[in-house]
Parts: sequence; structure tokens; C-alpha cells
Amino acid sequence: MPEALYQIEDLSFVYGPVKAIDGLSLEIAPGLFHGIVGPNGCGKTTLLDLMVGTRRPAGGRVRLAGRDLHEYPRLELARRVALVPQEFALNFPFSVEETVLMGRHPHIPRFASPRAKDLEAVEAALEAMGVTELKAKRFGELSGGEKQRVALARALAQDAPILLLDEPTSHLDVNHALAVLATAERLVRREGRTVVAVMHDLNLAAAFCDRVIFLRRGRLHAEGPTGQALTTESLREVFGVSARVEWDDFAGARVVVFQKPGGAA
Amino acid sequence: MPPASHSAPPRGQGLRLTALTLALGALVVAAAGLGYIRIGPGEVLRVLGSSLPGLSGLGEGLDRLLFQVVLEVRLPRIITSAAVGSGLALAGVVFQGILLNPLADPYTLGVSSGAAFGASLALLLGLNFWGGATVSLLAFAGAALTLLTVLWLSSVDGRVDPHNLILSGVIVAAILSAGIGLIKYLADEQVSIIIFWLMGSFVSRTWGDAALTLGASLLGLAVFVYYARDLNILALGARSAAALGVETRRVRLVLLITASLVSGVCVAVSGIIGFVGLLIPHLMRLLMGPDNRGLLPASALAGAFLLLAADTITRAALPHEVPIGVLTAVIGGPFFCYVFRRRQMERGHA
Repeated sequence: MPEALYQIEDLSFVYGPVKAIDGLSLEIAPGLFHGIVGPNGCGKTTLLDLMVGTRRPAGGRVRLAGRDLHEYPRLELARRVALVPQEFALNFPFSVEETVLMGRHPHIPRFASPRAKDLEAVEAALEAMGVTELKAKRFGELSGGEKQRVALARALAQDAPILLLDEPTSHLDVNHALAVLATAERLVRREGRTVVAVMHDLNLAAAFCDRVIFLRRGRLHAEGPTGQALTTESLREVFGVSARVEWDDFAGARVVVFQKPGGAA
Repeated sequence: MPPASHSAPPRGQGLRLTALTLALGALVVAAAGLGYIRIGPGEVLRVLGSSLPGLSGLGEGLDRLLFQVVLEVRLPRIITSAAVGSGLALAGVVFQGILLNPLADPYTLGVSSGAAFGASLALLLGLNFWGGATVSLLAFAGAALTLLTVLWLSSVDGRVDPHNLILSGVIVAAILSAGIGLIKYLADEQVSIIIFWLMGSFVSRTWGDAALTLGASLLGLAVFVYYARDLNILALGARSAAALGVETRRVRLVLLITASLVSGVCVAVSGIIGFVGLLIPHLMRLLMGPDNRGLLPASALAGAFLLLAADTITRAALPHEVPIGVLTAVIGGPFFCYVFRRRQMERGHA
């Protein structure tokens, strides 16, 4: 395993009386596709917020490339780490193209106009997410799945070596879900970028993630290569479900088969 | 075929800003000529031109009375009303952009009432510790305190809920108007001054008022344009904006303080003039698109145009001066209902 990109040490975060993250330590290696999995409310989204620096930890620390996250100027951090959150509100009638161009914000000086390479990055991102034909539309007029792909395009245009994705396929049909994750995988394999994605669908996690990070009640439960960490035992411990994890030739990946509660002897 | 874009191309935006500037310039000349003494545009331009260094020859042969009327009586009032219109429209754009609510403006947020309360208090107590700026200072303090209270009232779990915002603003404004009522009751001799000033008016403005409001509006414009791109990105919500490199806390704080200051100065000088900050940004978004880099200067120009036009009408066209705050409320109130109704319909469809 190469030297860690992120070093997270004894991290904690609280919302009022609730400990969302509770003494979590973790290292994240560069150039891999990491999946974060765990039950609702286990702190997955909070962990991403702490990794992009939009929240400050209550205790412990997050280091990126050896430096504490809060030593980075905001704009420099935005050139290194891109976040695609779960919600994509946009409150004024900006077009899709303008929305994706916002991803170039950390690269364009304050009073400068977008340069050719910024516009090229926007075109390429629109193309990669298959939303080029929507670019003149208003963001607010799009469907949930279209909005999600535009938000992903904005993060691609940001051109950061680290991509944090919060349930990137939650609004997508299976066809677009596979396409989006394949794009993310290509960024990892061909360009050496690092993807950390909160994954709800364990079969998609099994198919695309190099490593999985299991969170439970704000703590790290297990972490490791997908083939070793994603097991019947870990799924029972973390989610409390019965499941079989097996290689499937047709899928070309491991698949997770769940047992219906009370469905079998 | 070039793709159609909802945002106007930069060239089109430049043309529109130029057109707005020319319209405002023409209105200034017309307004300077209208009134009890009518003065033709040519003479107005000669009077204005002759006050510029090196051009004093332009004024030769003109009646000295014209100089008196244009430069001492009308121009301060013209500049004050235009600057107040700009300031209120700019504050509207910024409040809407930060609070993510298209119904937010200094009036609906209660900020104007807070400023009026502070200013009434200064008038009642005859406070004078900062000279002529004392009323403005108390108006700003009232505006800022009101904004803080409204934000606190409308926040859930430390985050401002845009849906509660206007309701909180109306509640706080209602309490403040009761307070202003009490001040009026206590004011005795000052009461007519306070009442007339509260209704909003540009009667007998001095060069001091003009300088104060123009300074505040220009300062506001400079600060707001500096942060215009950050304000665009804040439309994505604070979380996404921070992840894109926007210093969300600092940007919001600076913009909210500046917008309160601008609203406070406007109210201190001219009383409560409602709905300009709602009407103008909405119309300018239709003309210029949502990008604040074009929207802010366009709103400043259009706000100036609207209030100067309204003030000129009450001054020169109506048989009696109608307080301008009454005039804008008569136009702006129904407009608020229209925007509110449309938002409800959109939410119903979503």
C-alpha cells in the first residue's frame, strides 16, 4: 500500500449532544477507489465534510499530504479536493453551463474571465456526464437524476486529484449509475486520481471499489481491500443482515445476495 | 447553431448596462429641469458643465437663479434619491443572494424598521454625539441588531431557514413599529418631524445627505462587486460553496454587515422606502440573468432610476407631494404578492 494521502487521527465531531464521529482513525491511500459503507446516521456524510474541510473537527485531526487540513488556504484546498454533496439546491436561475463553470472557481482569478482551458474543462465534464445537450437549460428545471449528473460534472470541471462523492448514484437509474461509476473508475485507473465515495448499494461498491471502509456509530469498524473486507461477517456486524458474498462470472465482480428477513430456515 | 444560453452574453450585458446608464443620465437632466421653475435640458447641461473645473465659461449669460435652483436645490435631492434607490436595490440583491430567498429585502426583513427605530430614538432623545451622522449611526445599529434578531429567530439547528425568514422579519417589524409608535407618543413637539420622515421623503435634501448616501451606495457597490462571484457560488448552498473555495463565513459576514450599513444610511436619510430592493433585483434578473457581476451594477442603476423617477413625479407632476415611501409601497406591495404567489405555485409543482 502506497504512502497515505489522508491521515485521519482520533477524529471526533458532535452535533449538539450527538457524537457523529467518535474517535475515528483511518488512512486513505492515493490512486484508489474507496467506498465508505455503513448504516444510516453512522457519520458517512460528516466524515466527507471533515475531509473537505467544510467542518472543523471537535477533536483529533485530518491531514492531507502530511499537512493539517486547516493549514491550507480554502482555494488551494478546492484545487485538491472536490465534493459532490447529496443535495443540489440552486436558488437562482443559473444555466447548467454556468453551474458547471462554477467548478472552475478555484482556478480563475477573482476578476478574470474564464480562459479557453476553463471552457474546455467545462465541455469535457459535460460530455463525460452525458449532459452536454442540457447545458442551456436552467438547473432548476432538471430532473433529480439530471441534477446529480450536473453536480458530478461540476466536480469533474473542478479538476481536483481527490474526488469525494456522497452517494453519487442515489438519484440515478441503473444505466446512469453504472456509467457514472465507470467514469469515476476511469479517473482512478487512467489519471491516478483518488475517489472516496459513500456507497449505499453494496453490489455497486463490490463492483467498483478497491477498498471499503465500514463505519458504525461514528467509528471505524473495518477497512481493507474489498475482496477481504466485504464479507458475510462484516455485513452482519455492521448492518445486522444475513447476506452471501460470492464471485459472479456474469457480473465480473463479487455480488452480495441478501436474505429476506424471515425468508429462509 | 450557437447554443442558446439563459445568461446574456457579455456583449449584450455591456449594451444593457450602457443603456441603463444613459437612461439614468437623461433622467437626471430632465429632473433638474422640472419643477416650479422649468429649465430646458440645454440650460441644465450648461449649468452642470460650468461647475466642472475648466468649463466655467459654459455658464456665461445664464440667469444666476438657474444655478441656485439646479445646483443648490434640485441636485442634492436628485443625487440623494438616486443614491438611496441604488443602495436599497443593492442591499436587496445581496440579502436575497445570501439568505437564498427572493423575497428578502431591507423592508421585508425588518431591517428598515430597525433602522427607523434607531433613527427615531436619536430624533426623540435629540442625540448628537456624532454630529450630523448620529441619526445614521443609530439607524445602522438598529438595522444590524434587527438583522441579527431576525436571523436568530428564523434559524433551526444553527442554520437559517429561508422559509422562516420573511415571517420572522414581519414579526420583528411589527414589534418595532409598536416601539416607533411609543416614540411618536412620547415625542410631543418632534412628532410631526418623525412621522413625515418615517413615511419616506426627499424634501429639502442637502449636499451633506447627498454625499452620505452616495458614499454608502458606492461603498456597497464596490464591496458587493468584489464578492460577486462568491455570491454566485453561494447559490449552491454554503456546503458546496465552501468546497469550491469560498470563505463562506467571512463572505457572508462582510456582505451582511455592508448591506445593513447601506440600508441603515438610506433609511436614516430618507425614511422607510419599501419594496425597491424587491422589485428592482427581480426585474434585473429577467434583464441580465442571475450572475451577480452583471446583476449588481444593473440593479444599482435601475434602483437609482426608479426612485429618482418616483421622486420627480411627486415633486413636479403631482399637485401635492406624496411621501415617496407611500408611492413605492402602493406599487411594491402588489408586486410582492405576485412574486410570493408565483413561488407558492412553483413549490406546488415541484
